[in-house]
Amino acid sequence: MKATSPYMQDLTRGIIKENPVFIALLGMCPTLGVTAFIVNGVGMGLAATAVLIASNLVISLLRNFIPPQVRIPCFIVIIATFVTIIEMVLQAFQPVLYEALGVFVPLIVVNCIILGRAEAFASKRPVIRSLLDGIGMGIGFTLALFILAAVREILGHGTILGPDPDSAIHLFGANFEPMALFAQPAGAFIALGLLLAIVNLLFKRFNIN
Amino acid sequence: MEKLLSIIFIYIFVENFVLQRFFGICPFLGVSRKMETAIGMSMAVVFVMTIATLVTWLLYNFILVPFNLTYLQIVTFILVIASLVQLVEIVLRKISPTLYQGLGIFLPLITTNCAVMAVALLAVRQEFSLLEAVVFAIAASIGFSLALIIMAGIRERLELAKMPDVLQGSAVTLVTAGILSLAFLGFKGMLTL
Amino acid sequence: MRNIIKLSVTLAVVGIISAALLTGVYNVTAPIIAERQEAEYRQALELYFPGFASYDSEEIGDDYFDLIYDGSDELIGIMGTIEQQGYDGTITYNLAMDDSGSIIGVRVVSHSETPGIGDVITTEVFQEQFFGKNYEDPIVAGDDVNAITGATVSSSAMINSIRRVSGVVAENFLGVESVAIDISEVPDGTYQGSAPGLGGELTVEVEVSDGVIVSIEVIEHNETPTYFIEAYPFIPEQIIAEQHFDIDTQTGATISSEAIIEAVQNALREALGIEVGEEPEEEPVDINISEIPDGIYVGSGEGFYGPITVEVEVAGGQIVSIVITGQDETPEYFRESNPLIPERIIEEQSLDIDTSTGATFSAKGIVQAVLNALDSESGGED
Repeated sequence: MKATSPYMQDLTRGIIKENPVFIALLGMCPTLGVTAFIVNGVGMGLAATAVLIASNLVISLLRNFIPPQVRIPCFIVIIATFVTIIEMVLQAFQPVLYEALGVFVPLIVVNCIILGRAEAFASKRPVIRSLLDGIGMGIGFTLALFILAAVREILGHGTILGPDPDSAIHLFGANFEPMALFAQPAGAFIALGLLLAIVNLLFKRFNIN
Repeated sequence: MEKLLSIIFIYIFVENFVLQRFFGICPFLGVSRKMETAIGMSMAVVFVMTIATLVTWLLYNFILVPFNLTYLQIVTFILVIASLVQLVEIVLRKISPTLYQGLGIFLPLITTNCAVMAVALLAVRQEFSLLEAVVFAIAASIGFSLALIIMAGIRERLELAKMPDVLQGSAVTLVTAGILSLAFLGFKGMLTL
Repeated sequence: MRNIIKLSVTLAVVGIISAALLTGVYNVTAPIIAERQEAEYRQALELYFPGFASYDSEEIGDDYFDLIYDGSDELIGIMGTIEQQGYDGTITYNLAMDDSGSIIGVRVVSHSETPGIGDVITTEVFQEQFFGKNYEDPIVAGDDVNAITGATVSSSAMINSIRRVSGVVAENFLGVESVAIDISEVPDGTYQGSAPGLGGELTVEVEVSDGVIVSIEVIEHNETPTYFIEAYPFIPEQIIAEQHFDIDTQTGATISSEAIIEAVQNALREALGIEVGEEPEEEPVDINISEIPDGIYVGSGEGFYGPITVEVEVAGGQIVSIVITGQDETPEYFRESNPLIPERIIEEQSLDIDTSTGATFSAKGIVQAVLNALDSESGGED
């Protein structure tokens, strides 16, 4: 690990070691709310990643111009702007995904990961490093959503690539009786809780800290 | 009247913000460790949610809609919520120092509580009237508080329970929340708007 | 002071840039969004009405209808956009009908029914049973269409809504005269009528005196008690107070409420000698078992999820055994019809048996499979 450059560290930090969902427990609302299907989970992950990268970039660029007293309101406006852009773009070009994510799209604005990275990282670091940090954290977030959504969709619906019946692949045949619990809110909590326990176990086993 | 009562029942039990709709999970996991903090947070949320919904509803229906600016919804709502939290903090410190001591530390956390933003957005999306929107905000925040306080009660006992250390902390809290959510599933379908 | 100005200017600049940026993006995406929504609806129209050229929109009550015309301005069909309360929120769906009012398509636009349970309303198996039906058909659960076990509320809501809408369309667009009920012409007396509710037939007794409804009593019902309380006696009271049937059913029990209203209407229609939707003739199942030579026959029928295949053994002009050799049904439901249905067939030596189990689709599939086996003697004698 010693040989890696700070750039590499910025990029990889968010993926495993400081994974925003599994380790930092941030952004839990969309994590639980949109992961009934893989497509929705990954879609939300990518939308949040886009906002995160853009806001990290702009905030880092403006870090010397924004007086510290008004930095939080400025950050909020910048983030909200990108969220609105993403919302309009999704509505125009990915209407199905937009409908499926519902109110969780505008709620990206209060996703603690984005404001957290702006405040803790991008407002103090140069542009390139902030950009890499945003990409890394975004990948980490998307990865976590993908894993949770895969568990929930496979167990809760018996499919992958649902809910669109044209693309859905039934893994266990059409008469498989899925565990509807995992499609329900209760199943989201339970699945994420058990995933966290597995992550804890793996970290302990491989001594990552 | 009937609709108002339905809204109250639905958003406390049927569509509980935390356990069925996944809004406000961060504070739900973060401050549910102790009953005392859970109650403090609940009161702060009820307070801010109600005022925020009132203000954003007025802003949306009397400024954004007439001027055809609804696409500025997210920016304006989040700014309103953030400034409102600041304002409440300042006013509270001046008027009631005791209440401020109780709620003060929770106020900054509320800005990024997605339940507050969610209630403001949903009140507009569901086309509630002003009165309905305020009742909706109160019911949703009581539902949030209910979940938070039940969870705090369970977690205080959970602290003393023996369990594998990989499960300790957030993992077991989430599984417990899942079981709670399962219990609230019993209300599903009882009432719809 | 300078500081405050600097802070305000920074905030204002950030705000203005943000607003300008958003306005720009909005102006680009807004037309795309509008165009796409229009295109999506047109695509759905094209699917059901291949020759369509233009449409006219009309609003009747809470429902929206588009009258579809072809190139030469001939009416070729009607597309309804309907909102209906389901188990958990609103179901929005399109109902496509041809120019004679026959249903040619059901398209669920949005719903929030329970995943894995109430969402059966989006399946083809459920939707196909409406195809070809029109306002003359009863469209009643358990009669000519089936509700889905385990998802009774969601599926009954759809069935009852489709029945209502096909009536609305017939009355408003197809020139079918609805025979209005003139209460003042009903002779004094007590009348009974029934209509399908959520849990089965609901029967009411209506007393009319001097051309006025004076009492309405529900004498038989199978509604869920908690819902039924919301509809009764609230709905009858309203009918008696207003003396017409166009009343608000916005209670927590829309289906039960509508069933009460319809039952009262049916009672009065009968009193006035107006024909109530005729019962559909069950297809006669005639197979003379005694003439079938001994042997083992195989056949298949359509179940809920796929074909059901059976092996039927006939000896001495009697069915002696029915073995199900293949099926894809949901285990819990299939258990309800197997071995119950084969037993009933063997006992009665007839295929005209009661198929109302908890799993009507599977039960009917088995009967169809046996019929198919015996009907085609060339079907596979071992």
